[in-house]
Amino acid sequence: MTNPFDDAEGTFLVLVNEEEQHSLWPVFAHVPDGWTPVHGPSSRDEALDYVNTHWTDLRPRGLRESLA
Amino acid sequence: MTRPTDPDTTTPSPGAIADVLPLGPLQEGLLFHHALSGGAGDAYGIQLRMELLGRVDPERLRTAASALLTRHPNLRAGFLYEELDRPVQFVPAVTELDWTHTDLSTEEAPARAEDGVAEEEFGRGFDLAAPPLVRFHALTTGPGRLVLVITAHHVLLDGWSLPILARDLLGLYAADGDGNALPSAPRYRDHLAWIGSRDHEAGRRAWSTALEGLTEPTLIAPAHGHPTEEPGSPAVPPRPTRIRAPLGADLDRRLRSLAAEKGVTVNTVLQTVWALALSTHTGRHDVVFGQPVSGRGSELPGAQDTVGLFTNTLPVRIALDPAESLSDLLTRVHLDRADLLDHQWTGLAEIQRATGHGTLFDTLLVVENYPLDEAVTGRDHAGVRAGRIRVRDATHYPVTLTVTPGEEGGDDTLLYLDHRDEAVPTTIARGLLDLVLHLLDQVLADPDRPVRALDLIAPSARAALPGPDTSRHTTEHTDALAPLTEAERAHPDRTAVVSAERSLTYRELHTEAARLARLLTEHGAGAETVVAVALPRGADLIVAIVAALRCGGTYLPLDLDHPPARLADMAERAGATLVLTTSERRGALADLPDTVVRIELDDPDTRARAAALDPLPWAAPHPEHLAYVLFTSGSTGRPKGVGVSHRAIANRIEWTQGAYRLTPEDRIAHKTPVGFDVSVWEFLWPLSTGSSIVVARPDDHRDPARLIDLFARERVTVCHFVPAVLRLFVDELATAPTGLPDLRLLIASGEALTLDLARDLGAALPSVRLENLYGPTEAAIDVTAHGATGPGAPDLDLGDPSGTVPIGRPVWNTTAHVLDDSLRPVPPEAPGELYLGGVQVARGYVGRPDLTASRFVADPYGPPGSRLYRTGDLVRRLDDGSLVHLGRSDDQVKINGVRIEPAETEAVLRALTGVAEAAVTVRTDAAGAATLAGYLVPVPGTRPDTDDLRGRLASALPPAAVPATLTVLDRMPLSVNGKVDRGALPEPEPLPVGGRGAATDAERLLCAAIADLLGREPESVGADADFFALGGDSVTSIRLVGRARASGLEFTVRDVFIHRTAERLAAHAAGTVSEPAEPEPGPEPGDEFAGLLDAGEMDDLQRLWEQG
Repeated sequence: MTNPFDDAEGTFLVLVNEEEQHSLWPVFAHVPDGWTPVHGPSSRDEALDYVNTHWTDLRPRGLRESLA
Repeated sequence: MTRPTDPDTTTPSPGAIADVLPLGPLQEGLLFHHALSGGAGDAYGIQLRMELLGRVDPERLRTAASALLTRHPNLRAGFLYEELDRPVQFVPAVTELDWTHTDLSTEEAPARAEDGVAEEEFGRGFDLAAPPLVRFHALTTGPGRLVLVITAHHVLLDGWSLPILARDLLGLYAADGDGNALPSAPRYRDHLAWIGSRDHEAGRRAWSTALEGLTEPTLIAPAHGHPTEEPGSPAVPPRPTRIRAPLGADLDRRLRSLAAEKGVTVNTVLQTVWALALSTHTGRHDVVFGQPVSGRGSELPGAQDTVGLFTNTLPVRIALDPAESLSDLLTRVHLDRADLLDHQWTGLAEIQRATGHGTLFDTLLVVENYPLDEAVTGRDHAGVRAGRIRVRDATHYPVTLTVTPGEEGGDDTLLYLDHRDEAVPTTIARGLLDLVLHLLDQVLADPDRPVRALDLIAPSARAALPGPDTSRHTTEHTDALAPLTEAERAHPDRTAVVSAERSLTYRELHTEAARLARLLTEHGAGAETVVAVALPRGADLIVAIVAALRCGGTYLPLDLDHPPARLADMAERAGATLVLTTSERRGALADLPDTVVRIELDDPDTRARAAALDPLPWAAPHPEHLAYVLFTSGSTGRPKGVGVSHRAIANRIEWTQGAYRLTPEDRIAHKTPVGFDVSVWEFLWPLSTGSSIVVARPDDHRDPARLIDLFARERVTVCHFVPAVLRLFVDELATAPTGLPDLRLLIASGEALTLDLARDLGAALPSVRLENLYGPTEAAIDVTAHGATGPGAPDLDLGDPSGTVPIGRPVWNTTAHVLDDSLRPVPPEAPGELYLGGVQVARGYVGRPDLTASRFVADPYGPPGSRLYRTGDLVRRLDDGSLVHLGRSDDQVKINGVRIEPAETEAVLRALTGVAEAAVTVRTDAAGAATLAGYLVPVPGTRPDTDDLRGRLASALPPAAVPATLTVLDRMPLSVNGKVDRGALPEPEPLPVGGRGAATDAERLLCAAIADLLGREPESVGADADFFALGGDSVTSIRLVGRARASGLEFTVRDVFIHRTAERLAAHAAGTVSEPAEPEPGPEPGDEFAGLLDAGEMDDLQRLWEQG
């Protein structure tokens, strides 16, 4: 059994939640509540490139805003 | 003796053998199981229970039964394999009828007495060498009613024979035993001859195609961690337990109508649903199970009227594609089956040999359709007519699903699940049966949905799964500093730290740490800044960590055993701005960037500066601020830094205190290297509760004698162990000069805790509680716990075949999901990957958004927007909700409790100068310990020095990640898709070629026999070569026994499974040597089976039968 998140041939979305945390997401599965697709469907590499480009601060939004 | 040419007409002499026949395909398999069980008491039976109504004359019935054995000679057959080159069945001219008549009419509860007799008959074994292998027991239960129980060994006949048997018996009853009154019976031996005339090569080809690409068998028993029978553990299979479920009129109707609508058979739908259920319970998409076929095709005239074992158990292979629609799957299964219809007579053993597989499956699907009632009911036979008829069929498979279709408008269709309790307990069997019904319902409701849209949780299984509030617990703190603050205030004069160089009270510790914290803030430390700590184990290390936390910073432990380059990489990637160390450790930190400020605690200037500063008050971190960053092995060739928040570690510490309750009297050993996350709670838990930390000296954590000495001297009450070290500790206790009366709690984590170890510890230290904890660094150290031994612990299931203590249930505010590769929850007992949710889930991997987004993923089952960490650990959930660890879904291994990604070592090896290609695999030795084996192909024209390579690896990797062996190859073995074929990599240590030559006559004889049976060159079989590793199987093992006996070497099939080599078999047989029989030449001409036995063997057979 290959984990669906590790499937190099798979098709993926990138999801984002309110904390602006990002998640890779296999396109076959329902998008969970509280998450919004922001990229894809695309290859795994493209999806991860998107994540690296757009998620530059891993701190959750609530923490960042509490410091601002 | 004279060989009869026509066995049916020759006048028999008492004791004479009338016929000798080869075995049919399934008969071979049954004889093997019989031999394996040691011969006697084999209860692999089939039973017909026929109600006869009217004025039944028992004596007349007996005469009819006797005539039945005359009519069907193969009902008199016995079976022999010993002393023969190949097994045979022989038909004595005459056998005595095994007949009993019991009058139950005066019993108080005749129905129960009847059941009792049937049960007893079914359970009585048969000796296959002592025919008849069929018994008749007539039960008079009242006036006008007699029940005839016919019990036969399955090797004689199959379920389809029973209506013929019943019909003929009643016909013979009507004719008062006159066989001539019935039309002549077709002969079973004609069927055997027909089988012999088939194109076996075409059959083998068809099955090779059908099973092409299959990588593994589908075994439900080992999937559940329970032992199986083959090969190697020749146990007598006990009677299976039967559970049942009615299909219900609605499902029954929908099943028939879906099959009709899709143009497939009901059997196809049932096969598909069984494959789906097996897939769930084994975690595999490519599944195989067995299904008996009638073997009574139209090619052979009279087959429909012949008594005998025609049925053949054939593999059904169904490869599931989660994205495929159920409709398409049904059609595909139907067409695949059609391709094999012409090859249903190929024996299972032959299929296994042809396809290079051993055991293919351990479950059966049986769809019964014996036309029993039509054959016999309704008609009158000399004043007697048949009433109710029941059939009972045995199985040696761990699980058999039997579907008995009901009549249109009559009885319900029933599902039976027979299971061998020791392999598949009833709770699992019940779950399987419920799952079959749950899946069938969904397949019938919406056949156009994809396979992965099926829900796998039957209503009965829902209760065992976690709900949203299962682990909810309100905690007092949401950061790790508040409890430290409280303990500082509450216990100023208690001892906080005991170490070899000095001891500190809470006041001393926190004053020193508070001044150092002030110094750190002067260098810019605070929330979300990373302070590296590179100090040997001791009081200074604890002061430094407390200081880093006190100022609100994030601490990064740097394990000084790691190479400088790796420490520098960690510090850089975690963004450390400061490092607390000593002047002695400058070398280890030489590679750190100059921008990282070194603060050396032994520097007099540092000391003077700190002493002059005001103590810094405790920071008040946000719950999402990071408390620490800890690096673990990463598959890309670089370690990855896990950032853990205050909220996460605070929950972990508070749960631990709630579960195990430290008091200020407790003394906790700190002996875990700081790079390992267990060290985090070794500091923070005691310092949150007013207890004392007893610091082991830097090298003592792997020296059990010194640990025992330390524990005794310092009255340690609580300690952590990785199981491998706990084993050394327990062994050392046996000879230790001192006891450990103060020790009360041991916590094990880091790798599997075996039941043996838990039991041994319980015996050595009965008053000590042993807890098994599990968790990844990515979820704040530990997320599940299970009491193993000691006061308050549940009784261990010592019979649990996984051999390990469960990892238990989730800690507070933590959810554990067991999901398949379509992210569906799997039912209890099914394997799946563990996903963790809740407050302990880490923020992610510092500086690696991509890795974080692929491991910390959206949670489909939690609150909106929540995340799950996918662990890569395979687990199964028990009915009581606790989890059992099964292994990894990837290559990650624990070496001495340290997480290692072989891919990281491989990436580092590949990057070394002089290395063109690299591969690293995990080897597990006989004791179960894992090591890494490295393989490399050098840059063309160079000859690398492996010692030099190993040295360079050691400078880049932690010690546990350096391969134990390095093997230089000319080129990497590649699989068809161009990837490194890891299975084809050579053994790292050269193996002796060809094994040891045979040294004694017995060894030579056995080596030659093995070579001959397996089609190998005689000199290629060493005396120490494993028979099964060479390709031996169940059938050839029987033949080996026969060959050996003929040469005077005495051992059983069971012995072959136990001893396995010519050397050990010869030694085993040494005590039992007898004179070999003189070979006699010359088979006699006769019928198509004349070549079966030579004359000498024929005489042996006659002698054996007469003796028996």
